[in-house]
Amino acid sequence: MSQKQVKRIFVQKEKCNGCRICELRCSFEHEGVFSPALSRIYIHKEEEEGITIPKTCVICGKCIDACPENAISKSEKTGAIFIEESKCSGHKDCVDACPYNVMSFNLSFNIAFTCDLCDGNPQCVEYCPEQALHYMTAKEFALYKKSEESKITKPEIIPE
Amino acid sequence: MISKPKGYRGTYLVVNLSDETIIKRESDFSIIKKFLGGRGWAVNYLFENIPQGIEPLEQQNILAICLGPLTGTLAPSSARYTIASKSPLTGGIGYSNAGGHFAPELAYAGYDAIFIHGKAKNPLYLFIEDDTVELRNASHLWGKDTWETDHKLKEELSDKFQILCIGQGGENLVRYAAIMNNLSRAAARTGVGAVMGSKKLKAIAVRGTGAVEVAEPTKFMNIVQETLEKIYDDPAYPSLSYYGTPFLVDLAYISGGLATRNNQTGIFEKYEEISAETFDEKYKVKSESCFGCPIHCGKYSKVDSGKYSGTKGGSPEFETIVCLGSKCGVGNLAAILKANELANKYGLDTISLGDTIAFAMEAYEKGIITSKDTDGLELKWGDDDVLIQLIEKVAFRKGLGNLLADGTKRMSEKIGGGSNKFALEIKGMEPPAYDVRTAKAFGLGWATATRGADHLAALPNFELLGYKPQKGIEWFGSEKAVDPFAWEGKPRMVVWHENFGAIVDSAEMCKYTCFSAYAVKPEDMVLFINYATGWNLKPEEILEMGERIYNLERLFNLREGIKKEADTLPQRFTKEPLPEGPAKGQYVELDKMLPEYYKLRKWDLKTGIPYKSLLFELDLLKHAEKYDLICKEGD
Repeated sequence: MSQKQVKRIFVQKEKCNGCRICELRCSFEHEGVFSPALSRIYIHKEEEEGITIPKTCVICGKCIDACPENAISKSEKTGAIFIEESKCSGHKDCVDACPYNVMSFNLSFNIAFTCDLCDGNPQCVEYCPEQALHYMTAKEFALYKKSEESKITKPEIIPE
Repeated sequence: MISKPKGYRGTYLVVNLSDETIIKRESDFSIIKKFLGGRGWAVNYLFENIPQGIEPLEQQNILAICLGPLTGTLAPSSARYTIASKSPLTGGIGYSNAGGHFAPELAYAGYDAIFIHGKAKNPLYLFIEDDTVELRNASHLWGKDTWETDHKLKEELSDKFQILCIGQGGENLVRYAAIMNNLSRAAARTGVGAVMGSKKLKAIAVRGTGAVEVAEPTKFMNIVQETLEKIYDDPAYPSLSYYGTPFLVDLAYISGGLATRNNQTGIFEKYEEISAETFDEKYKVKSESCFGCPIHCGKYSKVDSGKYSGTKGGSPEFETIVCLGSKCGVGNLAAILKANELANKYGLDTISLGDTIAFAMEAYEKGIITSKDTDGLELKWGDDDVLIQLIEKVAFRKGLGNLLADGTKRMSEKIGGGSNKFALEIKGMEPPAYDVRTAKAFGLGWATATRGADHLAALPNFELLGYKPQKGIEWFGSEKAVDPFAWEGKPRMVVWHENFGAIVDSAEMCKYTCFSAYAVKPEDMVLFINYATGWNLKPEEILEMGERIYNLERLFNLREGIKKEADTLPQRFTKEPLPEGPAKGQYVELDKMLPEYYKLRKWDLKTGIPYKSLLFELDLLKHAEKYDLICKEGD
């Protein structure tokens, strides 16, 4: 798969309102429980300035280079970061190497975890009430950003 | 003992500030199965543990913080908590409910509730990081506002902590002080912040890395999905979601009930300057959501120019725009945003604050107080400089602020001069924004609410939503139930909303999900609870639970001496018809609604005490007998 065709999660931060439904949906999808600490995506917040930015894996690959056990690669199917759990020995070098703080660590199981794109159907994207998250190729996202569809629409104040 | 169901965490904290002890206890599900959690559990705990007749700002008062069975799950808008105490404003049951991100964090740390007893010698804060719970010195935070406190604690601990705290309002025992979290989310009503201040507890900082499980994950997610679709399909969703509650300013204006100058009229000449459109065009930056909420009515706003340049923060809500705006005659939205920011920082309830200032302005207009009483300030309607100065005076109890800080009722008693005629308060608490002369179920709801003038106890939005008459017959037995100016059908509407509302507050879901879109009705709520806990409750059982909670609050008030006579409205709403506009001539026909309401409630018409047979059915007989609150039918 060429780099141009790879889809990843793109973020429209101006649409994100910080509800963290993505965090809940993510932990449920992967762990069957509700727990932001186990989510692969998180919302960076600076409340005084009204800043809410979703942070998730952009597949930069720095974790792959950092792993001393060669446990990390890219999924052939989706291009997402893939961690071979049997090889992960809990060094956390990948956690330190991640520039976006989206390589997390499960203390109970002593393994690293990050976004796996839900095997090609990312549930955070599905559940975002504001369409602030998009599962697209870079080209698709660039086109989308230019389209009318990407804008926030203003409704009537008093509905019919 | 009933074993711990999923949904709940199974542990609660009892904190005693006097001897600085913290005890972890297993949640008692024989009690929780009667009261569900949240508001219900809190009220029962207060009823059983606060001695009768204490002063609310004494150390014997208790601060109860309770979560529900859905807290921390993906159930839409279920991130709320109740914080309850005996109210320093009403002397009766006090509780407030807030959203934000605090409640789920406490759930992930592993707790269902915190009950705070006693009084600290020196300022303390409660530190919770999963299993580690400690009382820590807060001397360095005392005197700081809520934003500074939030900032300082996050700097010391980590920005992953969620902070709940009081500002100078709570420290200085302003009787309507709020408890704040996430800077702009307020547990504001009934003065819970003053109780926290009286205990010298500055803040609670919590970090939780655990998980919340539900009993039937697939079914739970299906009902989540169905409910989300209902919410998104609701006709009011785009407006509430985009403009937030400021869209109600427009609705109130159209109906002629935009409370103006201490409710002297429902028409505000500067309406356009405080409308949702102005807010959106000039100040709104973006939406700012509570945890897990698909509606996200909260807004982040900023003022970029003029004398209030630099003002920023969450919302203001509709209630704030009216109470600190049109009720005081202030038509400058930037000033209202500044007033809102100050109230959030000092930790003050914007409703009671604005109302008390509006009351003082009318007393000044009528010459009952003069500039001699006001530190030389001229309390003229619409003067935003005066508004801002008064808020500062209230927070620090300076000069006139000392009088204002005790609320409208106490201020009116002090200044006399017939000011009780326009002292807008019920049971000691000041009324919300919407003028109830244009919404009669809301009027009845204010009069009967257990915590005083309160739009949220019932929140009978049903009458405002433009439903067809047939729906009024189906739901509440009268086609007039859909007409906000009519009183018929409203007692039934209010009883239903109060009972279900108690459950919504005890499940700790947001009333906007339940009572704006009616996306979650009792038959839906029961599924959320059952799929989370594995219980097998029926819709009628949770409605009975709601009735139990409401009656227990009633019993609390009765034992504290708040009698039937307190179920009333200020005469402005019952004897002074609206003077102009689309609702000209409207007043609240309370005397027509109250007897029917008592009958439906099975409360004695003379004394307002619940009948013995009802209390037996609701398993509240022991609660009532302890305080001799027994009234047999036909006595």
